[in-house]
Amino acid sequence: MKIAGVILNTFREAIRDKVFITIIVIAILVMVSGKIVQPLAMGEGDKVVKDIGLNSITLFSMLIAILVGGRLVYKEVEKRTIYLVVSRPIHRWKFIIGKYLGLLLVLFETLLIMVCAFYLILVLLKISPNLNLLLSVLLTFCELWIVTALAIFFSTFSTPITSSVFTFALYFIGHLTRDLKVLALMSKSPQVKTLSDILYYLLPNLANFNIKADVVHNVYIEPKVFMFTIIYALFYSSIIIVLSCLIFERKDF
Amino acid sequence: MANYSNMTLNLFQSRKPLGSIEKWFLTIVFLVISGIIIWTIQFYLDLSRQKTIGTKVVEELMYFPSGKFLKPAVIEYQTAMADLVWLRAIQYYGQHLMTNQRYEYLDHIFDILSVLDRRFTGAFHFGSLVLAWDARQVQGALKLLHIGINHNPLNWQLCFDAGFINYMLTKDYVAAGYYFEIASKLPETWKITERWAAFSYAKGGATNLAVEIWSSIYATTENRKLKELAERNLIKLGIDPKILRTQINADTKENNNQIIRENQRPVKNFNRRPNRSQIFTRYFLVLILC
Amino acid sequence: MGRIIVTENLTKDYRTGFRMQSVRAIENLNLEVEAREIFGFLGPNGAGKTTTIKILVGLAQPTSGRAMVLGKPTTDVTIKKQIGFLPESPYFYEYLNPTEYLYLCAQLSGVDKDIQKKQVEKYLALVRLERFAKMSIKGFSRGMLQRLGIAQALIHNPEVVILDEPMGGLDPIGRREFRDIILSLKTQGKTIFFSTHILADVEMICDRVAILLNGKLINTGRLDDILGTEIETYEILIKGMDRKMIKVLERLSEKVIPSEDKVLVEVKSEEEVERIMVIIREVGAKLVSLVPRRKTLEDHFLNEIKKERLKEI
Repeated sequence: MKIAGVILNTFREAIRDKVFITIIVIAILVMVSGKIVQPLAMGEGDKVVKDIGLNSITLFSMLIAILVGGRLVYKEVEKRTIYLVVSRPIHRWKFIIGKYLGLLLVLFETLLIMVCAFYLILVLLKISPNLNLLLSVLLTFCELWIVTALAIFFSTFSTPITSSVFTFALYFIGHLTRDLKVLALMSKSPQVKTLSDILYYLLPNLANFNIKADVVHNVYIEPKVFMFTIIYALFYSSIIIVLSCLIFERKDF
Repeated sequence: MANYSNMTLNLFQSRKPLGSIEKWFLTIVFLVISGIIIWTIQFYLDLSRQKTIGTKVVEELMYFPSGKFLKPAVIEYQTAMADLVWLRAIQYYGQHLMTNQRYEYLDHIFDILSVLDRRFTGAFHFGSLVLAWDARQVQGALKLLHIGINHNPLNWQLCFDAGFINYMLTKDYVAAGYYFEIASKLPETWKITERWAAFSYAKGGATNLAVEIWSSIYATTENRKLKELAERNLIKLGIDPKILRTQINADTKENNNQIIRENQRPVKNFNRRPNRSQIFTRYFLVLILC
Repeated sequence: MGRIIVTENLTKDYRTGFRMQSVRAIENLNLEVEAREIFGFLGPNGAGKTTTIKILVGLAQPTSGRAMVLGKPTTDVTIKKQIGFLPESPYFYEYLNPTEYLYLCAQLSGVDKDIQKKQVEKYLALVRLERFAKMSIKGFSRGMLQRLGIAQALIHNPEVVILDEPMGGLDPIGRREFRDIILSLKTQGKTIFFSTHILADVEMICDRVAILLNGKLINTGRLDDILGTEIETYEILIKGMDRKMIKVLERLSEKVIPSEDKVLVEVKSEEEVERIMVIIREVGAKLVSLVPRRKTLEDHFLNEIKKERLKEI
């Protein structure tokens, strides 16, 4: 399958990139620092170690998604390696999807490595590693579907720095969309209400994917809500990828 | 002058080029000497400023932004930020405990924590105790506990702390009894909490409430010593144990009849919380589906 | 087989700059390339050769007009299976080695999985890169990159091979090898379309050429038709002429270039050649060589460009 070739090639490219390895090593070091912090936390050491682990996994995988995704397509166009791909009998949309899935594969592997390291650290520090933590990581992965799709979208038409900045901006705003909803409810002006509502549904609601506090405090998570969140990620990222394909289809090299 | 510069030039020109080992040796020597110089300078600068790390922490806490600003600023990393603030709070408390016992920014810190992580019960527990006893900010402590209780309604410790602070510091015994009573009904609570509620009510003059609790203990406990304690306290409150025993027997018979009636009619409890294996089965199915 | 590549009134405009100003790269280009021929596409820098090639391989889309390869529009993805493309100064994924790269190309071009291995080995051998099969592309020289480029263009055995400046930056040995590969492709029944600045190579191997200037087609046709079979000059190399006779020759011929012990004489007609031959016999000099020269492609090329530029003025 031709798309498999693009996926594998993207995966190889990222894996052989020193930046990727560096980020994983730093993430693991940060998690290991939990051992130093644990005795200082005065009885809350277990919570602190779990928080450091989950937050590191999220932060560093987001960094990879934004930094690597932001230059994924642009680099190919700039270095002209794309000539020898687009001139082949492969649809351009397959190329974009292959790039996207390739990067997701890289992120999946990153998460896998970091989760294994995290669980190992928990076991070594004699903290019970409950399976709920995996649910948080799974939703982080779903959040990555959206963030990676945004990074690739911007990468189809802007430079790596601009792409990364725009993606980061949307990632940041995506976590504050609930404030937009509150603004809509509080506002007396119907125009502001409508605009806030539109923006609320247009922008990615990334706060849906943050259940770190819940899993660390062993709060029950509704399976229905969990499932709907995953479906939301699937559809939202699909929309962004379709838009990316449309832009890429009309591009001249 | 020209002669000297010529001589220097000749001296450098006449030198043999350095070998690889010599270059490495000189590089290492340079790095080590630079490192020592930097360390010495920094040590001297720290001494000359005469500031400690603890004082630095105080200054930091002074300018720590409020929780309302910090929460959106750190987006999804609120729990990590809360942990950072928690560590800072511990350092701040410890540093002042050992020195001047003045805790000007403690309420500010725990206010931030309460916004960043509303389920951080450990912080509410510790924060309320140090605010109440060390910083003498009793109302601040109770306010902190109210926030904690609102967001963690099943946590018995926070209700107990509220009761304890009311009992020991504000001397509001009825309020203390109220909190102890709530704590006694929550999961995994201390068994003693129920008795503390009764004691507090009695001390606060809410005799009816005290009688209700001691009666309940008397009726339900199988522990002889506890029964005797309940009996003694009921007598103190003016209740005749014989009348109480009769009433209890009548209630027991009625309760038994009701249980028999209920067992004959199966009832589905839709509000029953699923057990752990059911939860994991559901999630496993969701993952397979995805 | 008929016409393999056809363009009809092909026009391409690019929008550049902040105000998105339109720049016309090619205008009403009408081109036809027959089956099994080697077609040379010439033009100075900025003429529009690369733009035309990009449209043919699907890297760009025409503003108006159409381009067809093997009877199908170039926007049809399926036709790319029959096109092998080598861009100017090709760039590859530096983190791969040639084997991995050719496997990727074979996979993307739809080569059957069972024959991928055979194809990869065959073309690595053809371009003499077997020794470097596992070496990272990052360390490759210009010549090696160009050879890998031709291998990836041929890996899926296409019917049409489109090359953009394939011999740019190669040494004479490299250029000779490339010419041999192109000629062998023709014997295999493939159609080759390539753009180049090196006119000597075009003269050696092309069947037909087209000359492009400022996005417009100036001339197209067989080399013989363009250059004509007429002999323009005769070059006579003589040994053993003294200075007095050289002065006589200067009056009788177009150009005389003396060197150490030889003199090169250029004359226009056969009669003048006869006259020079008589003088050689009379003075007892030695005839080293007699070479008839017809008009070169370079002469024709430069003439055409000069004409067009004068038209513009």
